[in-house]
Amino acid sequence: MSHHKDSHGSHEPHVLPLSIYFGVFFALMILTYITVKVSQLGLGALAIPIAMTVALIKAGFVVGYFMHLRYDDRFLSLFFASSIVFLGVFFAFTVYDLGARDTWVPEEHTQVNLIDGKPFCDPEILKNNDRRKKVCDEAKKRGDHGHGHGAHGNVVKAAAHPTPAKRGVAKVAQPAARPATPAPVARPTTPAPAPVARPTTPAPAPAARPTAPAARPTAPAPAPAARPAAQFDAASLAAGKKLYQANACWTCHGNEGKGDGAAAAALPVKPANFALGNYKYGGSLGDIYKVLSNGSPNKASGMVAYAHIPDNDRWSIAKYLLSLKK
Amino acid sequence: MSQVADHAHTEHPPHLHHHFHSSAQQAASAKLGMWVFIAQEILFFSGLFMAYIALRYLYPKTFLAAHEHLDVSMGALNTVFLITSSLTMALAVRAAQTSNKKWAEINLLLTIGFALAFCVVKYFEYSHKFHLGIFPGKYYAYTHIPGNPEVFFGLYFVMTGMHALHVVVGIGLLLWIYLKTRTGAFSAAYYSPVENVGLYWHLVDLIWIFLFPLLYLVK
Ligand code: HEC
Repeated sequence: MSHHKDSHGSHEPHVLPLSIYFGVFFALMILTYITVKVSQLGLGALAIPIAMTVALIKAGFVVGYFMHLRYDDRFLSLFFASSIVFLGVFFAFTVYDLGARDTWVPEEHTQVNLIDGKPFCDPEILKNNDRRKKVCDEAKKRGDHGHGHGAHGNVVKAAAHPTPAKRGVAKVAQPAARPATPAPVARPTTPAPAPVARPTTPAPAPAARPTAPAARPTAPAPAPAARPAAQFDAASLAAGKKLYQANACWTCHGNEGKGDGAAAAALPVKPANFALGNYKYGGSLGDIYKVLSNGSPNKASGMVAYAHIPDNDRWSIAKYLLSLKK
Repeated sequence: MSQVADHAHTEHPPHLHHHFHSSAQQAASAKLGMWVFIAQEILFFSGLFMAYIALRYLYPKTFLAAHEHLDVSMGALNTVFLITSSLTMALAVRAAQTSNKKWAEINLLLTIGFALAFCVVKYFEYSHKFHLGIFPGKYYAYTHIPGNPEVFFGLYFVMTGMHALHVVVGIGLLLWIYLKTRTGAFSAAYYSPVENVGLYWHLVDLIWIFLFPLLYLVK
């Protein structure tokens, strides 16, 4: 602060003209409009850089003018800048680390299972949990009626996402049908336009809450053994088992993956016991996939690369091997 | 006027604390503290943004599919509310700087109004999600999005929830400043609290400026 009137007195505030505030406001509005419009163009890989550039410009306006940093003591800018620098360091190192890892499991082969390795609405769990069954049934019903946009969504697993049949009123009920349909702006107060909205709306929330504590007691018990078979879908496991047999893995690794196949006796290095899960080269899905694709790092071991097996099948085998762990 | 003999108290404005040399110094210190806090907030949120980058890197298709289930017009409406509230906040600070009490009160009330409007829209967004069975974490029950939508919505609820918490705290602060303004506590000579709450409020806007495109728009 450069201007002291007297030692105790007030300092004169630095008052910006109104035109600056309103100018910044309109700039922010226009930039918001631009980001929304640009995002609807479907620019693919360019979308993120453009959206982030616009966001940075907006941020610059807010920080520089609304927050006065342009006119304030330079020392404050230094503080602000230092936080941005550390943010950059944090991002840069973490992103570098992310990119440097070579055994990421593609998302198609990942299942984020949440309770004892099973999804919330797993049929087996629902069998003895009526409350959760109710929530899941209602969620399913709503999904079937609404969200007719399997059509434009990016379908990752087509099988897991059957396009819901259009059932007359379906479109009206669903406010989330996005880009193509701006006409019936059925959105405003979301739940309202749903056909049976009123009575059912608040229902799922309270119904869901109680399942929380209910789920707890069962969770801790089997937690330590959480990894096994349940993590992967039955289809992959069945396919993996078949491939394990068809590719004669068992001749060395044994029928149950215990490393006791007939050919193992003659091997210089004994294969690990998959049933115990003591993998030498790492026991994650990605690690196993890597050995399978590249062969063992120990080239003399007899474990050659199986890169000729299609990618998807290699993942299935890896899942099957993990499921062998007792 | 001053019967106090102690020279340190002569012409001592009521807002000036003893350990400060002058009002200017006091105001500058308060603002510096606020900016240190803001730097901390930026780093705090950077953890969430980094989580976004990492998870999006790992689940690109899931993110694209799941973000379609957020309502862009709701998000855009909230963006407009926050930007407008940022303007009224800046105007309130300016009014305090120019000792314009009435104008400061009006603008603070407007700011609170837009903040509440933001919360109302958020409420509708969240309740629609819950209605569909889209709950955070392991209670996620909506099976019509392919991939691992739990990941996206977990992040969505944490990021927007943390931001909404800041909005709610902001409303409390704005109310406090409003009530103090009504008592005539602020003027060109002393408006630090207004200014610093303003800085906090702009920060809330700033975070949303990044949240909105990342969660609602990018495809
Ligand atoms: C010729 C015998 C042989 C055959 C056939 C064979 N493996 Fe192996 N495998 C080995 C040996 C030996 C090792 C141990 C390599 C080492 O320790 O470096 C091994 C290691 C592995 C590992 C790494 C285990 C660890 O400790 O990290 C995996 C995974 C694996 N095999 C999977 C398979 C699969 C799947 C097949 C069938 C497609 C297969 N193997 C076929 C001999 C074989």
